[in-house]
Amino acid sequence: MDCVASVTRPAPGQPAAAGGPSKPTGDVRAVDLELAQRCRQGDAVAFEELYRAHAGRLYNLVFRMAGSADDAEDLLQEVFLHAHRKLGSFRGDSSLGTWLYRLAVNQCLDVLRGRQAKMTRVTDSLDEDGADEPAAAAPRVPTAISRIDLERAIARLPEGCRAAFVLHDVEGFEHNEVARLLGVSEGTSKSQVHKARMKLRAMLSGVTR
Amino acid sequence: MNCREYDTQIGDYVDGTLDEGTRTSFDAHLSTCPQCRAVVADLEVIRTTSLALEVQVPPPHVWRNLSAAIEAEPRRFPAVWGLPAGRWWQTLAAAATTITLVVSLSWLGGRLVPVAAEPPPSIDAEYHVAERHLTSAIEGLEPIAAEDRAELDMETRDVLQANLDVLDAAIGESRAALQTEPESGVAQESLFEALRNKIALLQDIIALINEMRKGNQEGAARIVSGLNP
Repeated sequence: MDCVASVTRPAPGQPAAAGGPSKPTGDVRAVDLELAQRCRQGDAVAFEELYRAHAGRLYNLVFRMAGSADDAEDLLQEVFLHAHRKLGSFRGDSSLGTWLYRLAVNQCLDVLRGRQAKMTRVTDSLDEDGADEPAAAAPRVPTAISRIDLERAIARLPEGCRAAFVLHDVEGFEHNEVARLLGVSEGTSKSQVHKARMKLRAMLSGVTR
Repeated sequence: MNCREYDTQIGDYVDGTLDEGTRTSFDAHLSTCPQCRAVVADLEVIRTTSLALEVQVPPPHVWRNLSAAIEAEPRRFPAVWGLPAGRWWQTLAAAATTITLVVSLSWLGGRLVPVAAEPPPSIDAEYHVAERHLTSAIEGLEPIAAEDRAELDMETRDVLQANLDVLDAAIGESRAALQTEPESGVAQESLFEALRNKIALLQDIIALINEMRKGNQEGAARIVSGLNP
């Protein structure tokens, strides 16, 4: 079956609707609870409905957090399998989108933490490059960078700051929301995003179009 | 202030979240510092391009693989929904019956599998660690669930207790079976299943008490309706 999930993303600077911590409205809550109920009753059509409504948005998240399409596909499947098992614990306190988004973030963080040892080497190598230093005489980032170059550079970011960067700069969350999702302080979110931006700047400075 | 000090504010400047006074001061610095101006310009390009990154769509085979994986998952029993508040005991009674059926059928089903067809795995340290882990979780939850159960009405309490008794009996039977057949994979699985079900039930009892304390009838009814063996 084809997947034509509706994909929405927040306007620049606006919190993402599906991932934001806000309480669901009465209508959304009722619709979500009804869908969750049907899924729990073993209604396969309902679960497909759930998948198609949220897979696009979650795939964007896991794609950038994981850094590759293959990993993203595995992660997305894991997220929905986990959701399928855990739907019984969905109480409607947040929207289904938020609930799924948090599951996805946690799933990604688990995977990223699992790669920590491997990535330490990458982090070290980037740090050695002086990516955080003010680039006095560094080549400039082109005024129009290609999205492909940026995607590649994001995939090369160290895991820790990549998560904060993706949530803030790509997904459009505010720092307080990123902090809540990652379980860190707002200051840590800011510093991680800044670290990621400076590393991206260093990586993209040599890119020409 | 020098560039180093402004460096800590560059992120907020690019995000447009500096207060007016700080922003004015930052602007004044930028007008005299080509290096910081270059950093800001570059970060703005990165930020703008990041927000406009292409939307990725999961390929169709993800859903196909997912639906196949779900199909292969063990069936969960559908919860009973839509019961009016105050009639929880009926749901709980249904849950008790279901638990009895699940435990009995899974045990019976396991016993009917020819042993020679698939030799059960031997009991190893991993199994004992897992059992200890589950048992310890139950020991942690039991006093919490027992302490405030008096707040529930007697009918609900009785049915919850019946549920717990069924699970305790299943745990006892599985353990007894393991005494006689220590290497039975079926008995191990039955024990784990019963222990996991008991943990889930204890967690639901605690959540139910919490919702009732908050006076949230709807939330309590939802928990009861979600009781899943």
